Amino acid sequence: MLSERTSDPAPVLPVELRAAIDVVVKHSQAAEGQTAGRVLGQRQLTRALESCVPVTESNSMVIALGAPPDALRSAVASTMPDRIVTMVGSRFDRSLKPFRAPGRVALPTDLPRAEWDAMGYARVAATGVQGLAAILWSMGERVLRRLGRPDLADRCRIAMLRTLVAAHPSLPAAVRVLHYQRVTT
Amino acid sequence: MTAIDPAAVASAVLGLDRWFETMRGAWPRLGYGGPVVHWWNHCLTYRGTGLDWRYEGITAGYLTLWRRTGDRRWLDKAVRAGNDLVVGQRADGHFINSRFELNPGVGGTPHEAACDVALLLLAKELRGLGLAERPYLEAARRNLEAFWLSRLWHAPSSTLWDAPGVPSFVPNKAATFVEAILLLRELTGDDSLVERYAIPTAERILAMQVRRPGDKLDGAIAQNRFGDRVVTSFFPLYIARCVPALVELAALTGETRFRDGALAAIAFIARVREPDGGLPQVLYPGGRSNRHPRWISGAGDVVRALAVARDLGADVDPAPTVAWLLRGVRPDGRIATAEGFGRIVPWITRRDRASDEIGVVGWCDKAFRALAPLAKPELLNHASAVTAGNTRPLGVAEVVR
Repeated sequence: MLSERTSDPAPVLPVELRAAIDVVVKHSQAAEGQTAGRVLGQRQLTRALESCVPVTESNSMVIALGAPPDALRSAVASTMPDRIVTMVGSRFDRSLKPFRAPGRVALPTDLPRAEWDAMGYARVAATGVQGLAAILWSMGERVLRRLGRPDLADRCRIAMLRTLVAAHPSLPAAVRVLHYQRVTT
Repeated sequence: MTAIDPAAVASAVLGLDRWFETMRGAWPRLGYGGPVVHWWNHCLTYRGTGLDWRYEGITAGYLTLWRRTGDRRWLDKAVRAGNDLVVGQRADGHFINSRFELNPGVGGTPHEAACDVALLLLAKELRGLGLAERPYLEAARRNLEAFWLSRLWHAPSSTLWDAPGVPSFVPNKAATFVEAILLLRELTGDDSLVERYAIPTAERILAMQVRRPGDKLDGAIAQNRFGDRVVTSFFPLYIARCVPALVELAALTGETRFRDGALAAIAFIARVREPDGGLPQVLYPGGRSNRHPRWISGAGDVVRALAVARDLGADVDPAPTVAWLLRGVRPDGRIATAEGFGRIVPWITRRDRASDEIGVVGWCDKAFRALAPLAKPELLNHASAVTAGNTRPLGVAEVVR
């Protein structure tokens, strides 16, 4: 029997957050394609994840989607998971705020590195979403549409969507999906 | 008309049936799932059941096979598809995960209207057989009334909006709505549906049609409009999806303007069709176009439109596009989605070539629907298409509610 939570419709998310959910799935899936963990964070995002893939409750991983820092700290302290996947914002994200649709989910930034070290976790992977390339393609689309070139504008839009996931984790990106692992000594 | 190899058609139909069975899943509900690739974006992470336009072609295709062969197992598969929709309908009338490339989510257009078409085609068939059609008819009516007529229909302007509260109009989606409305009218006997919804919607579609004799775009129908601002993109596939609704409405009302509009649209499609039977993705004013990706399995809807127009006497030959479809058949039974995803934006999409080969149920259903009427019954040995596993077709009595 499916729970109401599972059958609830996913909210319509902005494209960059929808793409980030896809990246979270990729980071959080085990080898056999299952996602197992404790999901916390903003309701809109957690519902989107749970609508995308079946998630089994487990203490081995925490998936924090725009979770307030205190909630993340508390979940880590209480479960001591082997892996943590977080979706966080960046300074770049804040600079884009004037261009965002009102009501868009605000993402907290990542915990300081020293705090991760103190908790005993090391970052093993990172993916940026909506980086400079996607922003530039988006601007190109707007300009070309105004110039009466819908053919090129449409291509720019497709390029924007295809470059939502930044080419390299070190490049600036509005949303970041970070993967931490417990350090064993 | 150019000859079509009946053995190749039958083999493709049986292959698709076999492949569809492999695409059934149980999460989050029973139904046809799998990835989706599309012009704007793909849906590769969510691969669960999608109750979207894939059900239109699957149901129509199986009903065609049933009528052509009398083999009850084809009917059972159409019923099973209908059951997926009935069981997957929410209390508010929406079908779960109806947004195709934007899944998961509800309220997909034209997808929920396409689900209604599937349900109503099934109900019509069952009624003709003296079997219980009510769950399917009621499910379609619930969706049409709760979503399309209550939330998308803008009564003051008699326009079907593309999203609640957004003054927008998309002809091909509206055409699917017209198909559903005409079926509902047929099953309920409510002729007022035609006057209130179908005719004004078809008029809006014709208002978006280019009528400039001698122009390459003559007969093409613009993709959409926001308010009064028309988006002058012309997608042959979506224009083809307008044709059956216009033809049906012309036949019902006797109004030749709808027939003329459909024939002009078909003349445009025939004019831009390429020698191999494929079509460019999109054309724009000034002779510009984005040729790629060229749909393969989705071109089934072009074949359907060409066949409808030929029945009206248009001098068009579906055969080259049938051959184009058949060239996309792959050993597992699917038909490849497209050719040229990697060429949409040079450098950026070059790694996207894998998308061409992905089998998408919501594209293959269009090929299935188009090929089913062309397959010779004696070549449709269903026994060879039945696969093992959890695919036992459900009977009418097994509808859950």
